[in-house]
Amino acid sequence: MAMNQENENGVTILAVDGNLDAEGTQEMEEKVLALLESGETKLLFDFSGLDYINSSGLRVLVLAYQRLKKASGTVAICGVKDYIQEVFEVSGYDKIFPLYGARADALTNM
Amino acid sequence: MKLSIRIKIFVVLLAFSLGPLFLSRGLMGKASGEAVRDMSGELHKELLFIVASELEYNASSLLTLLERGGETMKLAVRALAVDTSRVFESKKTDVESKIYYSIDFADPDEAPPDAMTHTGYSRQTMSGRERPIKVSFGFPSVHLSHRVREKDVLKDLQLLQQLTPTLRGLIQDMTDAPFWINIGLESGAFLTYPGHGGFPSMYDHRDQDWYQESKESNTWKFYLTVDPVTRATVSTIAFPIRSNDGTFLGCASLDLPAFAIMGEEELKERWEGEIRSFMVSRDSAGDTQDKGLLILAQKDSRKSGHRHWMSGVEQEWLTFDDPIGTEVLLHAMDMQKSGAVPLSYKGEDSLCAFASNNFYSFIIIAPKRVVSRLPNAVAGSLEYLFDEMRDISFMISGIMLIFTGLIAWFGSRAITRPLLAMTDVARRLAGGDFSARMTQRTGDERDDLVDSFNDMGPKLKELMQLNKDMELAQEVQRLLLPHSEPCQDGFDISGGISYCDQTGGDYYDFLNVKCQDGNALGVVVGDVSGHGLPSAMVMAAARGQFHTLSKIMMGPHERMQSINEVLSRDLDGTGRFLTMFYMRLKENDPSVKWVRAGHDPAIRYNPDTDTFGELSGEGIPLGVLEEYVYESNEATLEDGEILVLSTDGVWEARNSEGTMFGKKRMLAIIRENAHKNAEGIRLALMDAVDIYQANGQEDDIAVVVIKKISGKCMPGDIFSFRMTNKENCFRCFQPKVEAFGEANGLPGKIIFHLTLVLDELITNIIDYGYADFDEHPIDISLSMDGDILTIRVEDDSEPFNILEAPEPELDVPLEERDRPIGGMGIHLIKNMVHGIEYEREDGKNVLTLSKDTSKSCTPVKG
Repeated sequence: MAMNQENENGVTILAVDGNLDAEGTQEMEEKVLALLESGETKLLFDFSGLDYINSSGLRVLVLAYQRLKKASGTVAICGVKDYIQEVFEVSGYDKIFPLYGARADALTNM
Repeated sequence: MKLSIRIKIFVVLLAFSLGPLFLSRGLMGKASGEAVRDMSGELHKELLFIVASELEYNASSLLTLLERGGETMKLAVRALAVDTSRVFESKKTDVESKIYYSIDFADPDEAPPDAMTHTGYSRQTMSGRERPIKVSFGFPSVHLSHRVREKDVLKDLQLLQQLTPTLRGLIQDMTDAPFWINIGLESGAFLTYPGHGGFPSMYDHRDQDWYQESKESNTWKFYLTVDPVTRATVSTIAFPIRSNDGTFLGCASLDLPAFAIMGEEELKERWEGEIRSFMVSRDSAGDTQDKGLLILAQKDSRKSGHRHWMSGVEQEWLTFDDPIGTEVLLHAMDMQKSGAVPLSYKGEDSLCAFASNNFYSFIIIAPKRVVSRLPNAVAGSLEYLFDEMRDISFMISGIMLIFTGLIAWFGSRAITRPLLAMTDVARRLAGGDFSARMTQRTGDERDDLVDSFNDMGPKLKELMQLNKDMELAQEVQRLLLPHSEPCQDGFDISGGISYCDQTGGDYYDFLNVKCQDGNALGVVVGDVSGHGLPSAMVMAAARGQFHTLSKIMMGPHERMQSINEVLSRDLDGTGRFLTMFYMRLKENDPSVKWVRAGHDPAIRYNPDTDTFGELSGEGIPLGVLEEYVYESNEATLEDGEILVLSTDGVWEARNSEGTMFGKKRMLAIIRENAHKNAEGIRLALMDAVDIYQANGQEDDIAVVVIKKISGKCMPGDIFSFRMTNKENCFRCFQPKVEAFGEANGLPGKIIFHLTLVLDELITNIIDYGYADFDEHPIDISLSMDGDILTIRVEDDSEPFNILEAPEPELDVPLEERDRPIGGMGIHLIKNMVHGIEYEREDGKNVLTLSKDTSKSCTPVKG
């Protein structure tokens, strides 16, 4: 798992590549918590390089959503692969996370 | 609360140094306090007793003095009476001497020349003042009452003048107290000495009680009277004067102020005032309630009220405040000559000492506070001394407390400072700072500890590095093992390994090799001498050789020979070698070829005939002799025949008694499990060895089971693996699932579903399933039957039926859900498969999931 953090127009973009297994999820959780701690309000997860996510990974996204909602922030996700999009649909989380195709789409809509 | 070690050591040092100090001080203080209290109490009592005795003695001695004084006075009076009688016998008159009358004292010209005021001789005026009166010690004076004419008594007076020297002489024997010596005659003449005036003209001695009573008496008698001149109460001793024929001529008497005989001045000096003395007579006729003690004399008789000689002495009684005390005193006076009784007098607790003779008693009353002044003072000074000592002791204790406290404080710092420094270094070491050093030296055994600490850093660093390397090596070695079972038509093959160290020297492998007829499967089992990292490296080198040569077409013995040549050169001089069993299997060919390089022969079992055999052959271990020529062996297998290739770790496994597992056991297990597939037999064997060596594994174990079957190899037919709850779940199973998927040509999406389902299931088991912290196996098997993928998970965790797990509240908006996140894993599982069955078997959860790989997702309904 590799993570890359960028900032564009006030939106923090977290690009996650590879597998979000237990270790990866933990790493991402720490990263997200640090970002929330530092006061970021707009988070965009770029999952175009993501191969695997499980319910723990979803939990971290929900955590970010819940925290940011209180601070009137937003969480969006872009570039998910079709089989991962299916996980969002099955879990119903596609209703709470705006899912965008390309990163640029996401940025213009945020 | 967490106390620092320094405080603890400080407290311990303080407790050990001050504890005994305070204990001994406390005990001594208590003991000495009690001793002082006892002593001062006893002393007080003793002293009080002594003082009371002294008071009693005072009373007795005063009585004695009084008696003695009385004797003197009696003798004087008697002598005077005798002299007077003699003067009257001689009838010699003195006409020369001038007779001084009492009235002469009113006129200084008529008064005797030596008449002057004299201490003690005073008269109490009607207004209560003392007025000195003039007395003449040179001459007696004569008083004549108005009833007596001078000429009638002149002759008597001239006779009495002869007594002047006698009277003067009597002074020598008398006390300093003012007194009068009188001679009263029947004729009415009254001579008094020292001469003085001031007599009332009415006064006639012949009217007085004492005179009239002595007329009838022949002995002296004691009276209390009021002096007509001084108006003081006086004690009068009278003695009759009789002529030789017994005719009563008159009476000689002596007046002494009552207070003068009391000796109270001396007492007051001794007792610092506030003392009262009484001369009393015990009047048995009186009312004992308040009239038991008739006061005969007391010091302030002359001061208490106005008296007149004519009215006589008013009877006064000695009374006390408390009737019981009075009773006690009276009883004591009845029983004893002298004694002391405590009682209350005029509202003050007092001590009453008495001494009695047959006629009267002498009583001294002293207030307790006066009496106990000395005892109190002595006891007080004793207590003061003790207090002083206690104060000094407290002061010394205080100084010692501070002193010991300082020593303990700095001592504890000295002890703990290196300790704290060590803690700091240890903490830094634990934090990964291997450069942490201690520079402090203590000069004692702790220096060894400091040195050890300083050595620890580099050693730890080394160890950490080694550990990291070992982990890496382990990972590399795992990667070098086959990821999945090989697929070769006509054979069911399973291999497994168990290391005793992190890395080991045992090795098994499956590889595609080139042979004359095309491709074949090479099965290798090897064992490097020793285990651990060096063996693992030799194994890696051998494996490298095998894989390099796999592309080159050659016979089994040529392959072994080539590898031996390289390894022999590499291992030359190290003494290391490895044994190896290499077997070549051709697709659907019952004929197998093998080379044995010093390895134990493979075990061969035919279940149909229930016969065991061996695949043996000649050959020395690899790496020993470079030019050694190996030879291939060949055999033909029947369908169902089983070959077991293993390393010596299997039969040389020892139980707790040291007995080896042995080949017999091994053969029995193979026979028992022969009906199972290759993997079933292998797992049965390896589990049995694992259970057998309960004390821990001593050697690596590698086992490969080959079962000759008639049909095709069903790739992934049943693909199973075992993992434990202690392993990194994802990394452990993900490559296997991947391999299974690839082998079965499953699309990426299905592989993802399979991975996600297993991930959620296993995570769930590992996170929530175990009540202890032990290692537990989790068995997973995957199989494909047409389009149906079956996933079977067995675990011995707590019973849990996934079908009964509550669904997440998907219809409720996220913000309003009770459990916004929980249950999502199970929800995902249910949506990724098409069938779920749960059973609890032999203490195990057995979950069987089925998935139709041709369909897209269809959620399973509970």
